[in-house]
Amino acid sequence: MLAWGREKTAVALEDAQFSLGQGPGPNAVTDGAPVLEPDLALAEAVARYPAFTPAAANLRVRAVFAFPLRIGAISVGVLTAHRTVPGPLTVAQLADALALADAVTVLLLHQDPRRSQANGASRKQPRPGLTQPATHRAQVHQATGMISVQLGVSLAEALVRLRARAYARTDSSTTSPMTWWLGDCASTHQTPDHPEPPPPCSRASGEHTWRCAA
Amino acid sequence: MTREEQLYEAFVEAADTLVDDFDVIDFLHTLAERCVHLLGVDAAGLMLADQHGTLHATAASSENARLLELFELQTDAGPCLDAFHTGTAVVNADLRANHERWPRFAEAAEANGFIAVHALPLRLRDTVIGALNLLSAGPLSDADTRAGQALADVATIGILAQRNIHQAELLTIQLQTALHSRVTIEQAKGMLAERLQISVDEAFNLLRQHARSRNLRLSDLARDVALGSTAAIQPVSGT
Repeated sequence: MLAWGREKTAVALEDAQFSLGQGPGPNAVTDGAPVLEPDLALAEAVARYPAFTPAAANLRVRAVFAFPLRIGAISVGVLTAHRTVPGPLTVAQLADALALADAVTVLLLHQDPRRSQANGASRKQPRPGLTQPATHRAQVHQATGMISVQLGVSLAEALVRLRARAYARTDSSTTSPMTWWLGDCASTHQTPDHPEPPPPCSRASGEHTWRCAA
Repeated sequence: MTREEQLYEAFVEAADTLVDDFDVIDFLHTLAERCVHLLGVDAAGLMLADQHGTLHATAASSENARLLELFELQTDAGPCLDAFHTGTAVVNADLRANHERWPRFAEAAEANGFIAVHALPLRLRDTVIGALNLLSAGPLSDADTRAGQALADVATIGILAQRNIHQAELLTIQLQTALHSRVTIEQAKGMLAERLQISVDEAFNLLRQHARSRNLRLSDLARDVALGSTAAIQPVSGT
């Protein structure tokens, strides 16, 4: 599903990747790693994407950079950027793109349209504090796995609930909002405060597609 | 095995990083274990920097929650961060004398019974990509320090594991991917721990044994467990 596209070329490029099932975007999702194609006219690129490169050339797109939107095994889609001139991203541009992908991943995680429908419109914006990047702390990810088994929900759903609950139960003066809550959860295999029942539909992964023109 | 033989073996393992089914996290765990055996330290861990320059615990000699916490405490201040920023080794730093320099880390490390700490930079030419952290109850000899830096260099080779890594962009991507693999392993550990009612440390050992006995990449197995697309992993008796 296309979540956001800025202009016509980006939308057409995404349509091409989707309908052909081929391109840097699909590869980034499969590999779980960024795919950088600084020049689609190179023989290697044509060999990798025999059907996609002519479509990109028709759109005058020469370079495509795709970044998976993931947190470990949680995948919410891919961020695709393109250029009409060939050439690699600078190191600074690459760092910016990765930071943007992290931020978009967190936003999408908290903005699942199906969850908004199921629970009313209140989930449209993440609550304050939830827009922060997903932490890399090991305990958070372990607890995510535990909660997903306890509640029979996806890892994505488990992480959203974990973050929402941890922030709801600590005030902003606490430096590490999750720490005490996680301590309980991880050491006892219990969810300290039983969250709401699972939503009516489970999440599938890799359905959002984000794009922007570089 | 003599120390020299063990060192040779660590280097031979590094050569394996060029094969297709190489798994960077598994490799770094083995290397951290080797550090403990070879250098006579009590614990070893590897921290890698992301694109923001934030360090993340990526592998440790034992998958002990308190030990991982010690590495993570160094994200704000600690020997690994110093080694990462300066590109030079921190050797034989006495924890008692460094409470002001690394307040949270020094206190927590001392509480866990460590007395000395060492951090060796993981360097690729001019770039530092992380640090090898060693914790011990005593000082490290010069020979141990040299062997430690050699192992840190081996770790760097393993992390890069790609023949054209001189491109800065590939290095960034490789590090990013390694960090996501680590997150996936944590998610899978949590799921297994809950499903089998075991500790997360035991869950990690189970994952690793399962991967080894079936010749699977640790990261692939963790992803399959996390996505629920693998047959149930059962506890192994005697572990």
